Amino acid sequence: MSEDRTIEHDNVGAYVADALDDREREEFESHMASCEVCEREVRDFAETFAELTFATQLTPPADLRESVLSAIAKVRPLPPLPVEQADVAPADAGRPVVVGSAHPRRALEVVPEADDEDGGLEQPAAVTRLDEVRARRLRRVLSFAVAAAMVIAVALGVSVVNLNQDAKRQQQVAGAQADVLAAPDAKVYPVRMQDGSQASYVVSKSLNRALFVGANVAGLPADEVYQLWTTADSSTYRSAGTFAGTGTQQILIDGNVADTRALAITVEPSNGGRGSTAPTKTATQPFAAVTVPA
Amino acid sequence: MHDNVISMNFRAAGDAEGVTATSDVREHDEQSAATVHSIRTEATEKDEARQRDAAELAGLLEASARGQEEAFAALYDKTKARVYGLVVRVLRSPDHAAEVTQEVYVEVWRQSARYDRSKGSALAWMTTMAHRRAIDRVRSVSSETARDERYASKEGGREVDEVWEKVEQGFESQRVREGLAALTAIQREALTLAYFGGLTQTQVASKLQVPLGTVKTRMRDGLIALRGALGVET
Repeated sequence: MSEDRTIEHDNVGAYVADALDDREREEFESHMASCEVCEREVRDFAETFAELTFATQLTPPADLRESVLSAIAKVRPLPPLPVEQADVAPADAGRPVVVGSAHPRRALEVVPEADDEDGGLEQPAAVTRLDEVRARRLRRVLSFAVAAAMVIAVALGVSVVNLNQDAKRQQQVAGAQADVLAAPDAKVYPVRMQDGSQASYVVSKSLNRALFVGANVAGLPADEVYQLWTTADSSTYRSAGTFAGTGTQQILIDGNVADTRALAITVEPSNGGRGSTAPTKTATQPFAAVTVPA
Repeated sequence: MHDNVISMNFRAAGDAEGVTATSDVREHDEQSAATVHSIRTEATEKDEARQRDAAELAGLLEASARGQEEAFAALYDKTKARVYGLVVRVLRSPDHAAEVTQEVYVEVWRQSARYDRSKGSALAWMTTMAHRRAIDRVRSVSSETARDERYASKEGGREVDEVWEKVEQGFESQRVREGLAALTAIQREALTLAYFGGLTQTQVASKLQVPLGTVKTRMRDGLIALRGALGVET
């Protein structure tokens, strides 16, 4: 016991220098949770390395400031942690979002995320290689998704139809979302939000409905909302509703789903504008874009 | 003080030889006293400035947690060179470094409410986050092999020395430089390869061809020496 303790304690320097592998790090962290000496030393050494950055200072490119500030404007700080919790583990590439836990009886087919590498979509979309056929199919349709996403961006700069169905949609969600999840042709499309967090669409063409499901949706400033979009021909974009909340979100997309070829989200001003006026902050790229088969 | 020394020299030149010797000794003593005094003043001033800066950064980070973008902008301005410089040093690619630096700041903003000033400085909180993310990037990038080879090659040793030399030169204070120079070669190498090179302790051990246990203890000893040299107390 005391020997283990000594061995773990030896790792304190390597831990602070991020020189442990994953297994060693986990072991050390579980040791540190009950070792005040190690915890104290980790804090001290973190301060030491922070002081060392005095010597390596370098002014970043001037345009980074603007880039950082506009990036954070789209993200709301997380609330304080009530309990110690796994922090920002980098998103697990390719792991599908678990949805429909209320309906464990039916396993939904999960369509792997589109491969970003030859698409160049701004939002990183990790790929899950299920099998080659699927991967090939994805690549084929990807160019459509990219084109669709770009056209959405252009369309936003001009004008779009304003379909304010929020109130109605709210009332329908409870019953309709269960229908979507239970639909025989429902498919799940995992996507990434603008901050890299995972979300997905559950699409039922037969019901002409889809569900947007986000487990950890980032907050937006009070004057902005997320807006969902569908398109049948990649030139006309139809609002599929807006939502604002943070955390877990299940948003019903009612209609315009049967013929849609793509789904995407943008951040829009919430003051009734929704694209009908020239976008201000809405120079943002569409994200969570996905192509769905016709 | 300076005037004082000159007048002493002047006086000494006019005196008999024996007296000159005595005068030299006295001069030396006074200079030492002056040096000690100025070091002490410098140290105190630095500590005070450091505490002021630390409190300011902590305040800005806490304001960021309440969604104040202006506070975050000020936090960015005050820490950008620290964060970016560290990331560049680890990644060795300005383009990737800018990207990672942006990711770091978005993460700092997102997690700002989780910063607890009773557990350390805001700067340490941020640089820890920056370092971890830079290291993650280094380890995930495929050109890792090329990096490793560079560190492993014969030039590896020279590279370690260069990195360390630059770090030493980055400090104006002679006292800090001397403190850093006092680290043993293996402490220096182990820390540099790990912290700036992104190698795991196991990789460091095989590069330096020393037992893993030695690397562990040298890293820890090295950090204790560093802590002493930089005069960090938490």
